[in-house]
Amino acid sequence: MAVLTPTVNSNALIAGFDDPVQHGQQVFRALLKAMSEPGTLIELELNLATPGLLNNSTWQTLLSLLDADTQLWLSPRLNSDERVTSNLRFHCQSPIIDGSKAADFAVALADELPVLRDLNWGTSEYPDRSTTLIVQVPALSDEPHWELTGPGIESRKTARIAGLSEEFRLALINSRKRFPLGVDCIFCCGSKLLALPRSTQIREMRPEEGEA
Amino acid sequence: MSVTSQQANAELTPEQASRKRWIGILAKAELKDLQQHWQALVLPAAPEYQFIRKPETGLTMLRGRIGGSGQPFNMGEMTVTRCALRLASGTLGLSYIAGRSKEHAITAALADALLQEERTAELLESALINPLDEIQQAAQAERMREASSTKVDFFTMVRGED
Repeated sequence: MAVLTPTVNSNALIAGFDDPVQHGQQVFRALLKAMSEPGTLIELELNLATPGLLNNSTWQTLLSLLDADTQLWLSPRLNSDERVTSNLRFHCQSPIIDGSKAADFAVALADELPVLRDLNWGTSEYPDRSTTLIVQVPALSDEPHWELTGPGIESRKTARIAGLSEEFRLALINSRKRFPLGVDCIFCCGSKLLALPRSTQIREMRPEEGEA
Repeated sequence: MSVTSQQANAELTPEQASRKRWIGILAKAELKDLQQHWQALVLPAAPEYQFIRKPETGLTMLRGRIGGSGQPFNMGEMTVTRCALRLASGTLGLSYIAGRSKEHAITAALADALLQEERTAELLESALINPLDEIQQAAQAERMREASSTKVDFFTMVRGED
């Protein structure tokens, strides 16, 4: 059995949660709220030192969600950042894999998103075995750019997620047709995050609609 | 009891080999012996450090091989406490110890870090690691002596053929 030993550079290691159990639960609770009320901007309370290219909310999300049983895919620049990979291996023990198809979690920077098709959308029998995509974006707000409707949203919500390519936006909107299959997304920016589970319908608003 | 993997000793540099030795001694030391020698140390300055991983206790599966060479099997789980910390100078200290003593884990990690520092390595080696090693070897010799006093030699009588 040839298992390549993943390397951890001890010089790159930084501290994780100060109180792993309490803080892990606190962030998990915030993620639960984000997922159950799609489009709600959540501000994380803790402020941690972050490894390399990761920002505060991405780092805390990963610390609370990942463990040794979750396969992790990283977008190219994250994957080549030793500070990111060393700390994720040390604190989460997640195996970092090459192919995004088998990933339980995929983490990407907004300018190097994976093709949505290449992620795991789950199967009809087990739609829950899909990839959760975590994207680090340059800006997040509730400006009227996307109109969101669906479970967890009373009437409608608006959101603007900066830095997503046209191709990705269309793919994400169209992916709703294959419900219950699909990919759940968490968008992170600074200490803020916003979740769009696959049940949320997205409509791109025309510029003049924003005025009304 | 050896729980090291088979290739563990294969290609260690001298630094890795000596670090492995002191990490093992620190892990196997009795808490009271460790404490006693640790508190007697006269360090140039009280070490400042930051936790990278606060001491945490969990279970780890022990694997064994029958006769040391058979197929690996799961022998059982044991309680392990581990800790990682970084000195102000940047040196990282690690510890994995049996049991649930957080104090033991912190002291062992701190000692591991200081043993990698040029300034304190020699002092710790002579005033902490070597005495602990002697205590452990004496205890081991004592156990062997007790065991060998009840040793039974089996032999086969050879019948007189002539």
